Amino acid sequence: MPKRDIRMGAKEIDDFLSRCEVMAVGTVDADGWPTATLSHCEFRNGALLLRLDPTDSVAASAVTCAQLCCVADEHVSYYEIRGVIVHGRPSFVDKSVRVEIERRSGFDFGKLQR
Amino acid sequence: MTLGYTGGWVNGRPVSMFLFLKRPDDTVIGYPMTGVPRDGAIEFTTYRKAAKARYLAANDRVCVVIVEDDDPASGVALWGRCYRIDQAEFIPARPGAGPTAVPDSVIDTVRERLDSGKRVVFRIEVDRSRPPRRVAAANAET
Repeated sequence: MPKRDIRMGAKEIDDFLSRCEVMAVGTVDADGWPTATLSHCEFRNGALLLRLDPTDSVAASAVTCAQLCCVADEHVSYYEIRGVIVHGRPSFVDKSVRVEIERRSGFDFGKLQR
Repeated sequence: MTLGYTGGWVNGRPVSMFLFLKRPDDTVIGYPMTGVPRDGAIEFTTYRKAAKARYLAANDRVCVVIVEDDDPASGVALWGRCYRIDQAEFIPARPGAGPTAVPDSVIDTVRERLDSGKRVVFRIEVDRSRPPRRVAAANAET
């Protein structure tokens, strides 16, 4: 049986990011370990704005190594499980981190039923 | 290893988590996952051929953020090493035990795929943790 395609389209990812308030954000620390935290987020003008200031160790590592992966999901019920993964280039802007999105993908378990 | 901070998790009761690991090109990728706490460690299943299984075979270091069921703005971060265990050691969660109701047919399919080896089980032995943290609200003063 062919595998179901549960990938989100560009508009579905935009819609998901527009209603998303919290993401898990991860990068690599100075010792080469993956490291992560939760952050408030806003999707604005095609970029993510994270409420992490320069004293946050994950934000500082992300800007140093110039990479950040942001992930969020919804799971009200099994067939409403959706998630988005964003890769981007972070920089400090005022007391926040702005992430210029380079790649993104999303999945929607609701598509398993269609 | 016993966790310094256990988060009040119950053995065998699934938790929502984000798993971060390194790819061979040294970039990090994160995945939303369901984990199962077991004696201070965290277990999860995935497809044997999944990208994350390949990445973990090459680099076992992971960071996990476990999110509170009733407050997705709060979570605890854990760091540790991740390795495959025998599928037979994995105890599937009871229906209705986790944060998201999973249909019986899905639970049955996971069990079949574990039995056939199509899915595999990973265990994270936790080395350190960061205390629970709640994210700042959008309008919070900094």
